[in-house]
Amino acid sequence: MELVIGLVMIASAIAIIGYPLIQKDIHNLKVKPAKNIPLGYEQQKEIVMSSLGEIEFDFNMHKLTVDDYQELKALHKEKAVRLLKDHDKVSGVTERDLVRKLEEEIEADLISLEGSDDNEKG
Amino acid sequence: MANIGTIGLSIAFGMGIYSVVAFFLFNSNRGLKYLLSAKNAVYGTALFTTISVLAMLYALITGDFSIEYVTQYTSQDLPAIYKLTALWAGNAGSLLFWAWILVLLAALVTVSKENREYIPYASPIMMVVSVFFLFMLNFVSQPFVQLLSPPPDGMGMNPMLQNPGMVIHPVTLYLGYVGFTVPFAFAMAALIMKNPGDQWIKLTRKWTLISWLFLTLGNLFGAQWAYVELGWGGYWAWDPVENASLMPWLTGSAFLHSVMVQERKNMLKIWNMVLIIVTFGLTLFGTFLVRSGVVASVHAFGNSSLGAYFLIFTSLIILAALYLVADRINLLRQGNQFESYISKESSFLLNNLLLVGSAFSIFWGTVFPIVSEAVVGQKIAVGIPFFNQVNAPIGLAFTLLMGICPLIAWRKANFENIAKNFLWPWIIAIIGMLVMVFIGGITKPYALIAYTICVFVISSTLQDILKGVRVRKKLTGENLIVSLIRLLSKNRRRYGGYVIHMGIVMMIVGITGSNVFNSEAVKTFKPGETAVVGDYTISFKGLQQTSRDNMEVIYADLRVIKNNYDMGNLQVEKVFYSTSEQPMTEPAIISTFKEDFYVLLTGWEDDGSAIFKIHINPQIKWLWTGGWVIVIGVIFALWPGKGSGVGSRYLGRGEVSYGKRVS
Repeated sequence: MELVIGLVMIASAIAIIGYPLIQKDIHNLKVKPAKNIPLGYEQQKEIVMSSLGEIEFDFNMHKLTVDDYQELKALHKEKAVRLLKDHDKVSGVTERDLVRKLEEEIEADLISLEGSDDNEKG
Repeated sequence: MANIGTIGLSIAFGMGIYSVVAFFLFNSNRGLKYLLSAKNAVYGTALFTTISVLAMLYALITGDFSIEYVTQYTSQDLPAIYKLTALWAGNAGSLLFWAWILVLLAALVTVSKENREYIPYASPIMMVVSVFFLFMLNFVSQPFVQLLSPPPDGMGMNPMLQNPGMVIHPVTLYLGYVGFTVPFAFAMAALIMKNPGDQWIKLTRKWTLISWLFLTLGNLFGAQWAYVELGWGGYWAWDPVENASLMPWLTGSAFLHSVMVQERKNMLKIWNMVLIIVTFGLTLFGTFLVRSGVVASVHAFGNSSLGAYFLIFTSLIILAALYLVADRINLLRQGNQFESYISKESSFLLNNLLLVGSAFSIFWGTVFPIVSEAVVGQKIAVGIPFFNQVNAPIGLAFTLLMGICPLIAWRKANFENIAKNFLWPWIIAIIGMLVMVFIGGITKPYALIAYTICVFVISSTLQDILKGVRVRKKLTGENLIVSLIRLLSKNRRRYGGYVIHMGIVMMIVGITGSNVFNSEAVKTFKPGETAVVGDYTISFKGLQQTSRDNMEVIYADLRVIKNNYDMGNLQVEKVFYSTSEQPMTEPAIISTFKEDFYVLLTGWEDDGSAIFKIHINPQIKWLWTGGWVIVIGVIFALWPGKGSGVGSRYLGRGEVSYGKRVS
C-alpha cells in the first residue's frame, strides 16, 4: 500500500513541475527584465502634498523651526509647481495661476492629509 | 507511515533543487514556462513536506514505535497534546518542523501577486535555504529512521518539556526565526535586480514586523516557561540558547527602525542590507548553537554533527550576501546624507548602534567559551554579571531613546524646539522620581533611574499624542474625540509603534522590579505550622500524594494570607514521571502586578515536615503583560488599509525625483 502511495506521490510531483513545460502556448514567451520607471503624476502629487501636510503638522507640533518650516515649505511648493507645470502644459497658464491653484489644493488636501502617515508611496 | 514520510521528504528535496534550477533558467531568459514550473515546484515542495509532517504527526499520535524518533520522544501514557508537540521535541523533528514553516512561507511568498517582480529572485533564495534544511532531513538527521525490532513502548518525553510552554514557545520562536528569511530573500533579490531602493522594504514590512512579533513572543513564552518549570525563581539566565534567540531580536528591532529612515529619507541602504543579513545569519547561528553541542545549555538538543553543517551553510550564505552588497556598493551609496546630528534619523541611528552593540556584547559573551577553548584550550564561561553589567545600561539608554525619538523631527531639530517638547515630560519624570524616593521609599539607583526613564517615555509619548490631537483639531476644526480617533487611525504605523513602546516600557518595569527588589527565603514547616515571610503569612496543612496521567505527585497544601487578606490555597508539587528518574519541582505562584509570591517544595522529612523555598518577585506580571501590549501594537500598526504605511518624505534639497517603482 505504501509503495503505491509512494509511486502516486512521485507521479504527482512529475506532473506538477512538468505540466507548464509541455504547455504549447507559453513555451517561447520571454519576460522583460525588471527595470525602474518613474512614478506616475498622481503618485508624485500625493507624495508632495502629503509631505506639505506633514511639514505643516510638524511645525505646529514644535518639531520644526520657523526657518526650516519656511525653507521646506518653499522647497516642496516649488516641486509641486514644477509637477503641475509639467503635467498641465497648458499654454497661457502663468506661474502665478499655478501657485494659486496649488494653494487651493494644499488647503483642500490639508484637511484630509494633515498629520497623516497614510501615504505608502515614496 | 515512515516510508510515506521518507518519500515525501525525498521528493520535496528534489523539487526544491529543481525549483532553484528552473528559476535560474527563467532568469536566463529561457522562457516563462520555467517560471511557472519553478513556482509549481515551490508549491510541490510545500505539499510534500506537509505530507511528511502529517505522516510524522500520525505516527506520534498513534504511537508507531517502529520509528526511532517516536520511540525516543513519546510513550503510550504521554498526554495527546505532548504527543503532538513531540514533533519539535527532538533534533530531527524540530528540523522537520522548521523546514515545513520555511517551505510554507516560500509558497506563500511565491503565490502572492504583490511580489510578482521579486519572485524570480526572492523565491529561489528562500528555496536555497529550504533545500539546505531538506538536505539535512534526507541525509544527516532523518526523522523517519525505522527500528528493526520496535519496542512495546517509547522512552517518553523529558518531563521539563511536558508543559504548556512546549506547545507555544517553540512554535512562536520558529515562526520568528524562519520569518526573517523573507526580508533577507527580498533584500538579496533587490541587490540582484540592482534595485536597492525601498520597495523590498515595503513589500516585506508586514513579514518583518510579524516575524519580529513572533520572536518577541517566542522569547517571552520561553522566559515564562523557564519561570514556571525550571524552578529557580527566575526567567532569564543568559544561557547561550536564550542568547541565541535574543540576538536576532535585537538586530531585528534595529532593522525595523532603520528601514524607516530608508523609506523616509532614502538613507542607510548599506546599513539596512547588513542588518538584515546579520539578523538572518543570527537566526541560523542560533540553530547552530542549539544543535552543535559546542556550548552547554539546558535548552540545547545535545551534541550532534548538525552544528558543522549549519556553520558551513551559514558562513557560505552570509559570505555570498556580503559579496552581493560589496558588488552593488555604488548603488547602495546613492541617497541622502545626514543633515544634522540632532534629528530623528540620527536618533534612530543611535538606537541602532545601541541595539547592535547589545547584540554584539551578547554574541561575544556567548561564543567566548568557544573562543577561549580554541585559544587557550580551556572553556571559560562568561557569567551572568558580564551580561547584566553590559546590557543593563544599554537597555536603559535604548529605553530613553524611545521617549526622545518621537519628539524630534526628521531632517534636523534645534535646541529651542527640543526644550519646548521635552520640558513637560522631564518635569513629570522628575516629579515621578521624587514621589518614588520620598513616598515609595525607592533608593536603589538602578531602579530609580530605570523607573524615571520609564515615566519620561510614557509622558513624552502621551504628550506627543495629546499635542497631535490639539494640532489636528486646530488645523481641521474637528472636535477632540474625532481628532483623536482620526489621528490614531490615519497614522497607525506611528501610533502602533507607540503602543509597542509602551509594551516595552512595561517589560522594562518588570525586568527592573524582578531583578532589583527580589528576595527569597527557605522555611521548614511542620504540618499545621505557620510562618511569616515579608507581608505573607503561610500556613502548611500537610503533605499528600496522588497519581495523575503518567506521574506520581507529592504535594503540599499551603494557605497564604497577605496583610490580613486571604490570597487562597496553594498546591506546591514534586512530580515523579514514570519515564524519568529526576523529579520535577512545580512551583505555585500567586501573581499580581505588585509582585509574585513564588513557592517551591524542595524536600521533606520523615516526620511530615516540608522544606519550602519562597521567592518574592516584584512586578514580573508587567513583563508578561507588556508582551500582550506589544501584540496589540503590532496588530494596530499592521491592520490593513490606509494608515499602515510609512509617512511622507521630507525631500532634501538635492533630491530631484519622487522615487521609482519596478515594472
